[in-house]
Amino acid sequence: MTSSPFPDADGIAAAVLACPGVVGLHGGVFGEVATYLPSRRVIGVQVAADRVAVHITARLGDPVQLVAAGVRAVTEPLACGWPVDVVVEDVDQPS
Amino acid sequence: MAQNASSNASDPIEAVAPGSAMIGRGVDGEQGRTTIADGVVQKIAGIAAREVSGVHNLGSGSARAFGALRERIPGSAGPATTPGVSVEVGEKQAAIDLDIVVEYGVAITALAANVRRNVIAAVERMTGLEVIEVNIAVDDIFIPGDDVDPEQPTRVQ
Repeated sequence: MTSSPFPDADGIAAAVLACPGVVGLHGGVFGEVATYLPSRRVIGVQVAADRVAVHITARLGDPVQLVAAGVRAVTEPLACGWPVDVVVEDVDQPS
Repeated sequence: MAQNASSNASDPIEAVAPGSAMIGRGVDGEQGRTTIADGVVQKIAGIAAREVSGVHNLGSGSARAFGALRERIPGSAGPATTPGVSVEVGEKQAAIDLDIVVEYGVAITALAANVRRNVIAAVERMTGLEVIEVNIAVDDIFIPGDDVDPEQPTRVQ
């Protein structure tokens, strides 16, 4: 059980936030979508159990499918081959 | 011939490759033995589990109550073991069982997976033991504001 490749939640979060049409990461209804690290969490990116989930808020007016496809495209190279789930939780005006 | 066969069959030295970097519990090196006590693995696992965000505490309710009771027994030096953590340590491997209390609002299976990863990394890096399994039991959920005992005013002055 020596350290197998493990996707970097911080790296994924940074890459997703840089995607066009992404307003922010979304923690889900209860804020439960997160990677739980020592002393902190990466909200909106869940790296656990051989699966990566990215939950986002998309920009209002942008085509949601395209935004999600862009998020998937930047996440997959960082996911160490794990399946990537992209969830658009909300749409919002950029603040 | 018979002597040769028996020395090949079960020579304990052969189990450890000479010059192996493995420093495990009770593994004989060429110049001595390094022993890692169960309590060491317990403490490391306990700290590594507790530090993960979303873990409120370790130990089931009864284990914590028992620990508090034991601390009050005169002559007892407090809890002898880390509550909520039990370990089995072999020569090169360790198995760990954790009882945890999670915070309300976490994804419990994801949290358990992240706790498992952190505990394995901590124990393997610090002790050199191979962790073969980490079993996690979620015994309770912590709701903020639930834990603060209302100050019981003492009845006698």
